[in-house]
Amino acid sequence: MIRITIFGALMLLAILHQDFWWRDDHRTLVFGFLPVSLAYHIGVSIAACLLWGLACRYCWPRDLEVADSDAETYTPHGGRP
Amino acid sequence: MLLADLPPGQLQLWIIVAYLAALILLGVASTTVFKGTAVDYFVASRGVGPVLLVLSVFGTTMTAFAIQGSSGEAWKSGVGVYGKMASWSGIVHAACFFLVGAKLWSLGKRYGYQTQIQFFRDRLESRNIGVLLFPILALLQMPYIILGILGAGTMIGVATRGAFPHLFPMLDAAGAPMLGHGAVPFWLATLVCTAVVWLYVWLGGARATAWANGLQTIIFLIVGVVTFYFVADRLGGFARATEMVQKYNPSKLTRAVTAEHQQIYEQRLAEWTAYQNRGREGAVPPTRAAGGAGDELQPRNTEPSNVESQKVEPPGAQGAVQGGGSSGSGGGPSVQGSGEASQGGPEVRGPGEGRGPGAADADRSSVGILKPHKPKEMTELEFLSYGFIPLSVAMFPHLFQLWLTARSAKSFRLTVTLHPLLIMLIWAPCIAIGIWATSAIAGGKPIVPFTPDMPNANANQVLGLMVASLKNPYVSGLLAAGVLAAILGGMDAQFLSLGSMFTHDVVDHYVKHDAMTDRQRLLFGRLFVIAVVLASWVLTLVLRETKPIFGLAIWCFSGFSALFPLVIGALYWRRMTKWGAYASVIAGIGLGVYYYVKAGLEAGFSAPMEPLVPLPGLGHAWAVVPACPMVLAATAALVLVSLLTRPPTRSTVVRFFPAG
Repeated sequence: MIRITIFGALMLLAILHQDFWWRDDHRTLVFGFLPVSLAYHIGVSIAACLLWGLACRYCWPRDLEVADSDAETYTPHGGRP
Repeated sequence: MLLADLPPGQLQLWIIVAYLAALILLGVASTTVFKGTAVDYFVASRGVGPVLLVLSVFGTTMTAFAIQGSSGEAWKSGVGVYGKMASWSGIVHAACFFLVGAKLWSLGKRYGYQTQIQFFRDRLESRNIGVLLFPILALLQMPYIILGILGAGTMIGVATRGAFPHLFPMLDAAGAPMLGHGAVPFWLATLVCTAVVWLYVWLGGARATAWANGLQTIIFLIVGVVTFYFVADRLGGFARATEMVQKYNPSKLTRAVTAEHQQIYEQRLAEWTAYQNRGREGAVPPTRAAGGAGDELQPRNTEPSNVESQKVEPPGAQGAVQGGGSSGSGGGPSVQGSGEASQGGPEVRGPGEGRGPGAADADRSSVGILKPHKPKEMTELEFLSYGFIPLSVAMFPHLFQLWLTARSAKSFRLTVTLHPLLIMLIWAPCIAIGIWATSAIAGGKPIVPFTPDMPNANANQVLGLMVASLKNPYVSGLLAAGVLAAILGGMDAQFLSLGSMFTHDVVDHYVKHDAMTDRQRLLFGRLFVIAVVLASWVLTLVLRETKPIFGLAIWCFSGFSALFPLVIGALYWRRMTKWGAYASVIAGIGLGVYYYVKAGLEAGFSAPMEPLVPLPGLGHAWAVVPACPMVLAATAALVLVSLLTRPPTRSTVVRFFPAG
């Protein structure tokens, strides 16, 4: 369930990236100097950091690690010609 | 002698020398842990930990565009640049590292892969997929390498102007100093840079590359923060800088163009026109008679790329800027901006200009001084379609090489998590500076004396001009090191990956039938790195004046993006076949070549080509980045042809999809 929630949140973030609601607002400034659209997208970057952090914590694939003993030297699959 | 007393350009040179020396030291230090094997040379024995991995991957991914180009793009296109490039990259790059990078690392370690083509050869059961992929990957990478060397040489030339007037004189027929007078010449600067990169790659291979990229990322972060702070201070503070944009170019703070924006533009343009007319009637024309330093900055040389744009200053601004140099700066050019951008760094301080933070009188005196930028809309579709560009990182050969250096799959976690944040830390300040530059006035003169609609206006000059206005050689030197770090940081990994591809995918596979010894691989790898470095340097000197190389580079990202379906299909879709892969590559890259040739024929290959293409039948209002249709075409071809052809053998499916 948590995997679906996190990946769903990432999908939602990608959708919310399209902030058409700020697209013509040049008056609103965040902290007195940041254009609201820029501030919003800085927020998107921070949210991406947090969500990908959660994805790494809770959704990390289990079968990725390879022990040194399982590592092979490269040989073309099917053998050399 | 105090550092500040050094001749113009020398402090910047010493900062650059210090940076290059640090790179060599890193290379030498890496030899102390070098194991003398090919695996150690090409992938650092897969022993790089999470912190170094995040720094090196970030340093390799970010090019000079992150510092220099982002400010210029924001100056040209406004605040939307952050969303369409930086925040999209934050989301998509991390996804690529999560879904592709960690998985490829795992397969790479398990089966001993050192190049992408080795993986695809096995996965697709195609011994000759490299015949198609190798030239594509190499050709997509070469323009970047050449542009990198070109940028490094030009940047050093600009940063060191005036440093050695007796050693490297550049005088016109009348004996007057030209723009590059006293600067380190292009051939020498590029030779030194490529030699330094070659040296540490030769010495330490992938480990030295990772260390160098780690250093680069740290320099990146320092440059971004320091430049942001000093520029804001110069403009009277953060709030004041943005206020000026609201007043003169409000459309730069949005993606849309409203009726109000248009009205403000017309009003400001009328004020500017009236000001110019008054200036023509009463102004003293710019002259060299004063004999001041500004004279040395007049564009009279033949250096490449950016010089032309110095000739396009608006009449009033030109007089003011050059006149300011003559009357205000005394002996010798004061601080010139570093980086390629500052090649157009004329003296911008006018008579009577205050140096301190503030310029609080700008409001009263600024009417008519700034030529407003013509509002330009960024459509929602364009903004959305930019999300396809960052998919390119999944197929960068040099990034693949760095992924393989990871100690474990878990090492990727920190990279996936912090990458969006690091992008934000670099891009946000540079974007803000670019937006401020549209409406920045210092001493009653525009800091950027041209607008995007002027012929030959060069957006790459914007950051350099902003930094030049600080009159601070330390910040200029730091920016020079930052831009150089960005350029060299990508270049080293590209040299190494091309050397690895030549060794493994060409010589080992086709000449030695995959039976090279470890010692032979190491020797050939090092020799090919030399060959790639030399070829790149010579090509740069030959192609220095060839403009198509600039246009071509814009399309390279799209080319790598078009290969994204190939790698994602190979990793996650067991039904994907060899013929589906061939069809995907041919469809995606073929469509890109079609778009490139079409745009080149329409606009001329030497002209900067708009990297947007209209969707079929929908007209120019529905334009997207080329990567969008290229990725879609590649995906459609991959799925369709894979379903129509024989599935992979069971042994291949078991090898790559053991869980299922």
